Amino acid sequence: CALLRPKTEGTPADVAQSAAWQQRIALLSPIDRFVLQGRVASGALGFKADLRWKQHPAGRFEMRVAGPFGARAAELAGDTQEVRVRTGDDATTVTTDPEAWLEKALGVRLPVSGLRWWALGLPAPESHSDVLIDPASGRALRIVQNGWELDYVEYRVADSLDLPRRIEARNGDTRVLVLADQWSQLPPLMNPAP
Amino acid sequence: GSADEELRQFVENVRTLNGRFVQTQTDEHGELVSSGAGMVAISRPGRFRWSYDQPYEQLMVCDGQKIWAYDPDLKQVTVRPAGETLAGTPAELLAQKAKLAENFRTKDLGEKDGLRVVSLEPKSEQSDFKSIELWLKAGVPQKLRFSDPLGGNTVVELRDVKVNGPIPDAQFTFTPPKGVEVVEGAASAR
Repeated sequence: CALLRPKTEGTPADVAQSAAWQQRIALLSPIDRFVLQGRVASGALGFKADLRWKQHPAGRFEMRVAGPFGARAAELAGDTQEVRVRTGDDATTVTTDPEAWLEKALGVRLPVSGLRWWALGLPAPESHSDVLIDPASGRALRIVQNGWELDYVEYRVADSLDLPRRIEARNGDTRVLVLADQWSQLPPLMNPAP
Repeated sequence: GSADEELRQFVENVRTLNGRFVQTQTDEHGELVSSGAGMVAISRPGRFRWSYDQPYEQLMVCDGQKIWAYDPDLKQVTVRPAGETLAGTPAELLAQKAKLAENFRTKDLGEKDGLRVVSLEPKSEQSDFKSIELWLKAGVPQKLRFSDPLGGNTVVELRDVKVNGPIPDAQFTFTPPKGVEVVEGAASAR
């Protein structure tokens, strides 16, 4: 279960009481498709790339990462079990560990394993996570999961949804910034049960 | 004119160039991946300024020795030596010191919409692009097209292009803002 630590140390806000957090989960969890256009960068390595993440129903995704003007573009497509990686018209490989593949190819580890949920500001449901929330807004401030520590530094309203804009992700000595510039093709807003 | 004539006119006649650019990137299915726009200023040989104002601010400046890339959102500046033949970006391609024919195999792709289309195939293996299309009119670049390894394309269209006008030197210098991390020598987006 998600161990929640109160943002303000003084007032214990456990997961059940934070209506705002429960409301966000009810509102955002059903989102099973979206297109996220953004950037990933690692300052120390001077690495910077454009990112396009297309989430499809039933957990399938396509991730395109490329340098300026599409240089060295690579596409990862698959689901949480298996991912097909394409780097050229004919160069295709299959991997069960996309993060390791990307680290070998680009020299930097990217938070791919949970991005489908983390980009929405939610922990992935299928594995343990620690979540630090702001009880008032219900926003996740930090999610620790799958070896990643994600700090949600900035949120912004997109398509009438309050979604993360700037995520600072750490994994071991990897420091990566994920910027969500544009959201599209989100499913129509379902009104969560009151 | 023919491809060779247009390239010669460009190399010999165009000393400075400035204007706006509009950039659209599509994937192998023709679906829009991203679009952007901004300003370009080039002083041949060797110096350029390429700044996006859409969808977010991003700046590249080459003073002839170094290429500075500044991303305000990322609070990050990368600086690397300005290579002779780097064809990684439109600005580098158009501003480069060496003659185009020295560093590219050129192919005449004929005339389209009244513009001469030239295919430039980088001779060096490390280039990020198999080939780049340059569209010219009377030796003045109007459009560039980069095809990426996945079969997608990035098209850069130049607008309101003025050639051989005066451009202040300050356009081609860059001093990193205080508090922004400067990363040396990282090769383009490696």
